[in-house]
Amino acid sequence: MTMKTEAVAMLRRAGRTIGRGFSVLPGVVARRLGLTFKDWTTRELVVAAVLSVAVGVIFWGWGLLWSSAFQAIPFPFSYALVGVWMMGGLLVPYIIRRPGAALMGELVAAFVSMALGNQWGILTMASGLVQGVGAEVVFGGFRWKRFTGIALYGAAALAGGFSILLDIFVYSYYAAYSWGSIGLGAILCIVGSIILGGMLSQLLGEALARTGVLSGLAISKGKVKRI
Amino acid sequence: MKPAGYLDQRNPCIKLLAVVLAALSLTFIFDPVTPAVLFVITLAAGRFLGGLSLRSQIKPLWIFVIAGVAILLANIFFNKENATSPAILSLGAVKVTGPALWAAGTLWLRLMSFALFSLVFVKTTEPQHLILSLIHQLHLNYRVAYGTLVGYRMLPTLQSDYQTIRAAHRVRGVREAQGLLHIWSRFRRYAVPLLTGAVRRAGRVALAMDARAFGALPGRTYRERIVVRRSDWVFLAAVVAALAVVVAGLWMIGITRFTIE
Repeated sequence: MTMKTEAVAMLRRAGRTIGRGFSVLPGVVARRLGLTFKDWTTRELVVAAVLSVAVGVIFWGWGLLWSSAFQAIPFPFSYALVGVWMMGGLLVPYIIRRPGAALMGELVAAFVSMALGNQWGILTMASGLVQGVGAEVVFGGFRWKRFTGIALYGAAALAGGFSILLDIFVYSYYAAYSWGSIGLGAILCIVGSIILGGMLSQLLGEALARTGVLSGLAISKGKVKRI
Repeated sequence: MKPAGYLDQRNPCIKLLAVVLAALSLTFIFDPVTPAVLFVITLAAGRFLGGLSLRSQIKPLWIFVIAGVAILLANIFFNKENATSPAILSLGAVKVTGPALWAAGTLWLRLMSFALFSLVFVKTTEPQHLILSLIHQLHLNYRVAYGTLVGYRMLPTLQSDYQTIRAAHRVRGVREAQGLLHIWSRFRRYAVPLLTGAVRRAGRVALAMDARAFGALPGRTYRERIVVRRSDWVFLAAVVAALAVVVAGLWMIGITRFTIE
């Protein structure tokens, strides 16, 4: 009897330690990498959140098109259109220009598109995570000092690359298709991410900045003309 | 407001973990029967533990039948086993092989299961509870969490803004150009005013939050604290056990496969 209760207590303690470890780990990793959101002003946070949610709606709409009209495009070529799903991790950091913006933008947008209902369900979050990490790694590589040009397109490319790597595993492409066509899909995915993710984010960001609504945010520094 | 069912009362992070585990285990399984069984079990769980009618669970998934047809066609034409496998059915020059049907069924049912798992999760989880749970259990920075919640709350506003912009375009007689070349101009005509409005509103909300000293202190108090109860661990254990029983049981009678072949 006592042995049993002792064993139960030990198990419980072990469970608690593991649980605590798992729950504290993301915070520790974030702090180590400097993703503490300390420099963010409240306005930047809320604007980033709203933009991410709006991008999530775009993701969802693109997902509906993908599940219907785009199904006419066979496997490796359809990957040219995946790039739109990188926008969360590109548009938000392009406008806000802070550490963590890419990760937050992509994850929130992925969550919104999942919550509105899409074909991939919870796997959307996995895609969002790898795409966000891909973009964040590149911006982080530039010490979060550069968010335009090569940094933006590099982030788009790595996000696209990570994205198809995950898909190859999750959807078992290696089982159904030859490595040649998977390789072609990867190239199309990366190029598509640079064009549909990177360039579209830049165009949309600049179009928004021109309206003056982003004044006070990093994208508009030195750009807003006062009359 | 429907009465809170068993699934509604579970800790959101634990529920999310259960969904992730179920989805992850499906990615290692290469037969159509196992995901189909898990799909039916999830339907039943949604119905009896989550209080979701079968109709409300099935209806949102209808559109993905199209994707199923496309996956089937892609496999009939492009599956790499087609050249070496005997045809089950021949339609003129097109031969339908066993491996093609098998792969298509696996992938499609896997996708349908993923979609249903998350549908049940989203429909039995309040966004506020999820955010609070992320703060309390996963120690997510509360400023980020609340900021995100504010953004999420603006989703219905975005929708009504869209209708306003559409009406404004109509009343001014803006013609909607059709065709592929005009996608960008159409997108811009909606996206720019929509996002401009959202960013303005976000700025005002942020000002109100600042006025209430949001984020001025490292910690804060909560009206409601989301905790992990013993019943949540029991739920997680039950999900893992159910997964193990289904996979092991089907494997023993020779249905579940862990390799492609």
